[in-house]
Amino acid sequence: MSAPVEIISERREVSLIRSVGLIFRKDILIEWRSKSRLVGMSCYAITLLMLFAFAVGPDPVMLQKHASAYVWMSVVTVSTLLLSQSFQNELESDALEGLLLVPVPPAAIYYGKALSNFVWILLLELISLPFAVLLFQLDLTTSPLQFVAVLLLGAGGVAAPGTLYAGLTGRLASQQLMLPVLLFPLLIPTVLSAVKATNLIINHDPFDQISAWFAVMCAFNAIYWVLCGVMFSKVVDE
Amino acid sequence: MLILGVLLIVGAHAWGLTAPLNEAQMGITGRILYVHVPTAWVALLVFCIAFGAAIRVLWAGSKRADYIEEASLEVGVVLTIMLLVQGSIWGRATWETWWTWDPRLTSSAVMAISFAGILVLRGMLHNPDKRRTISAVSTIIAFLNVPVVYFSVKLLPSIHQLQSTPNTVDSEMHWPLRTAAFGFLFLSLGLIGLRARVAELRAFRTEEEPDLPPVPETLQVEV
Amino acid sequence: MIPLISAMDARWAFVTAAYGISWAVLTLYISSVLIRLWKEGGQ
Repeated sequence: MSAPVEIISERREVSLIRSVGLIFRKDILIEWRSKSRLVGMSCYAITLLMLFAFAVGPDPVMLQKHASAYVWMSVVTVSTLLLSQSFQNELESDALEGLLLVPVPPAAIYYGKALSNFVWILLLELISLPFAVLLFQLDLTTSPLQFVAVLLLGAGGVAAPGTLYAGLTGRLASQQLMLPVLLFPLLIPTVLSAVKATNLIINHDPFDQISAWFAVMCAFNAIYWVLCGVMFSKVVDE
Repeated sequence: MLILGVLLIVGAHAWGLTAPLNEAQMGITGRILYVHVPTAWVALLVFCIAFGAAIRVLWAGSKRADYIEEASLEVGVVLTIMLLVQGSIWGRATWETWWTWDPRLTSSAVMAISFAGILVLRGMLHNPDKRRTISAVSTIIAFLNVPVVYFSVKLLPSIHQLQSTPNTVDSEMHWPLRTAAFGFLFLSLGLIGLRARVAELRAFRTEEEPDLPPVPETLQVEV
Repeated sequence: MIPLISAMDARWAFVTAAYGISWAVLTLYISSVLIRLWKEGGQ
């Protein structure tokens, strides 16, 4: 005879913010423990900057004029590689299904990963920065706050759609090709504004045009962070 | 789908009417308006159809919506390419330049590339469910381009003219323009219908009824 | 008179080119859709 068993079921729902925090922490820790990818990507970014500098030649005026373009292009290129890897951990060990079974809204997975990608891209920008200043002889001291804002908004505008599309193309054999093809048109407003804004900061912005570019960057950041979060649940809904 | 044939004639008729009608202040080159503006309107509308179809695919799981999405993406891209070529020619005529990086031209080109990229992606995805989901999600996000293109002339300084409304267009040109617009609209809708049918037939052939040869007698195993 | 006529010709050429290319592209596309439809076995 078996003793009567009382089944007490507790429904504990993890809040969205807390689950985002947990997934964010997981991704950052995993990456931070072996920094190999980060080191590799930084080298890649710096090499790209050097290539650009050599390709353009020694004329300092030319270098300064287009420096922001080169910096942002190398950030975007390396970020694409970084983003394409963001779901690899889960896909390689078949962990994505496990993650989805956890009582956490799928959007939390997206926001956690997107935030960790945001951190990595920001780190990438910060690491490339001293090299860019050196190679292109830039003067960023005039409006440091604005520059930080551009860095943040630029990283955000790349991380948000990038994480969604990384998830979308993750299982494809042609991921390395399709991710840039799909992503770059979406990045054009963000990158364009970032380049123009950085240019204005380097040239001390005589006519205060920078607010327009900030507006564009803020708008696209807002749109992408919301829209991609909504769409992510559909992406993994299989 | 003979609608297409009939309405194609409506479209052609529109220009047959408009060609001898009148000249705008731009001179003869103003006539390009009758083909350029309708192409623009209908291209944007067709992408709206793609957007609606994509939403249906994701939220209602409709396969038919996927065919319509594929068809409208293709028609939309073709129309946008035509638009860019017509615009380039008109630009050469009036502004002496084939291209310029102003907001409307740039955003139109970006829009064309975005949607073309989705079509390329569709070609590379062979799993039907995955293809449906991925292209629907991408279409919804790429649709952000459409309002940008439409409002770019209003919000940003641009070399391109403002939107063509009854206020901005010469009154004699209203009716030819409208007829041309409807002609293009029906033409595109008919094309979408046909192309969706192609997609449907192809899906039927590859997914539901593989044409395998019948198993020959000698191979049947008896247990 | 001659310069005036060649100026007129040039602008007609633009209009014709725009219309012509549009129609050529449309016709090509329409035929491609119809050919694909026929190959897939539609009407």
